Amino acid sequence: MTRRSDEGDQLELERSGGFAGLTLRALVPFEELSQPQRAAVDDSLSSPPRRRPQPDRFQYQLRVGERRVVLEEDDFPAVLRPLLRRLSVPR
Amino acid sequence: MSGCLCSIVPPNVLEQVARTGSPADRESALNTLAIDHSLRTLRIENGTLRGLAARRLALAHGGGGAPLRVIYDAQHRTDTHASRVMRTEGEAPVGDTAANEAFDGLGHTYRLYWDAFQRDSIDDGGMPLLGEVHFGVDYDNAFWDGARMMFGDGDGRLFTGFTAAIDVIGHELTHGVTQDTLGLRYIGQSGALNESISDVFGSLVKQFALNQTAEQADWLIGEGILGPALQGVALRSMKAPGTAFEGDVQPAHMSGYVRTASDNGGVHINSGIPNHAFYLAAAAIGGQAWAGAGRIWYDTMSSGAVRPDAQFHAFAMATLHTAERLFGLGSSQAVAVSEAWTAVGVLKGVRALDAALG
Repeated sequence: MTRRSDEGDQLELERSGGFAGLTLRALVPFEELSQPQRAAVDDSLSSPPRRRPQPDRFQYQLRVGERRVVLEEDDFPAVLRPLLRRLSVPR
Repeated sequence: MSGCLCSIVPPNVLEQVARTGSPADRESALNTLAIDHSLRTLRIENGTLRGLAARRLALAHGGGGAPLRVIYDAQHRTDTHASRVMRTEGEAPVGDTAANEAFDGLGHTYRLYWDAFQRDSIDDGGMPLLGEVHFGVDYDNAFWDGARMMFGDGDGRLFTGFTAAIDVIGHELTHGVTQDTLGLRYIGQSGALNESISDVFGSLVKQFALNQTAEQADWLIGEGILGPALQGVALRSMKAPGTAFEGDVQPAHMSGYVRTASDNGGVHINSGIPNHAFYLAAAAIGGQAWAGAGRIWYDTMSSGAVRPDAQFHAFAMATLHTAERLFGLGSSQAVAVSEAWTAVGVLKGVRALDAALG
């Protein structure tokens, strides 16, 4: 884990695409992430998988501070799936 | 006898019927053999071999004109290896609304492509139409995975399911047709064209099924699948992009083109521009949209005269050339296409006129 989990840090999670093309977002304070979840975020940010866009699949973006990664639906870490419940349509 | 012979009939008996039975029995036996073969093969082989299986099936299937549909129950999993067959071609409706809707929607989609464009399924070779319903848990999406169509049930909040709207089914199947023809890259403008073509033919599937003219059609995509958290009538409107629901941000003109990193460069947003161009062309040509603008778009697609990384302008010019080839230089159809792309800011008026005049 190369990044310190400072209290002010948060994970910005975005899901876009899908047939509907809706963009949903969630802000998750870093302190609410489990250790395996923090590790998964860090892994994704450090070594982004190759992009391979497919029609109507979801696309995820993880952002922590200035660091950002875009993931295909199949590359989204399973350990982060519980966070998807927090996604909502921005108003 | 119509439809499939019951699958408990042993294959050797089916083969005997296929060789010596009456024409109707023969067709039915071939269908059943093809489906049995399909189910066995598709479960165990990888994606490449599935293509071969589809071609073998097409040979058994004959000259086209009838779909070969298989609907599976994904049983709320996303790993579809365990999927169970729910309904195959020739079988009566089953006790599952999503399965029957997917079956019927695939049939309507096949019908548009065959009756209007003489295309025999996704690959024009009788490829079986495979649909998986109940994909994932509360899954708010439908997509084409390169071989099959997947339909989630929706979470009940944003979406109430994806099989209730036949334009959604037509949209997904058309991603397969695009993959088989132009292979448009799913990012930026070529991605928005890929999306738009799916909306165009998705809407045409609905119009064809309802036997509507361009004037009678609602030009909506996803009507009837929105849950209570989304206020509106549908997800997209080709007639009036940006008005389908309260979060609809689709532009109808290049001046509103959205640059974003999300959604592969806003492919579901900027598709509003070519969507609206199609609507304008269809409305100007009048009558049944599949016979005029639809024919022009389909021939452009199947001609292969558009590169996988095509931008809006290249696609617009290709449709204009197709319109001239099909209906003549300076024909009302060619003028309608030229004016439609000009109205959405993709072609400049003078250039469009020059192109129309050769």
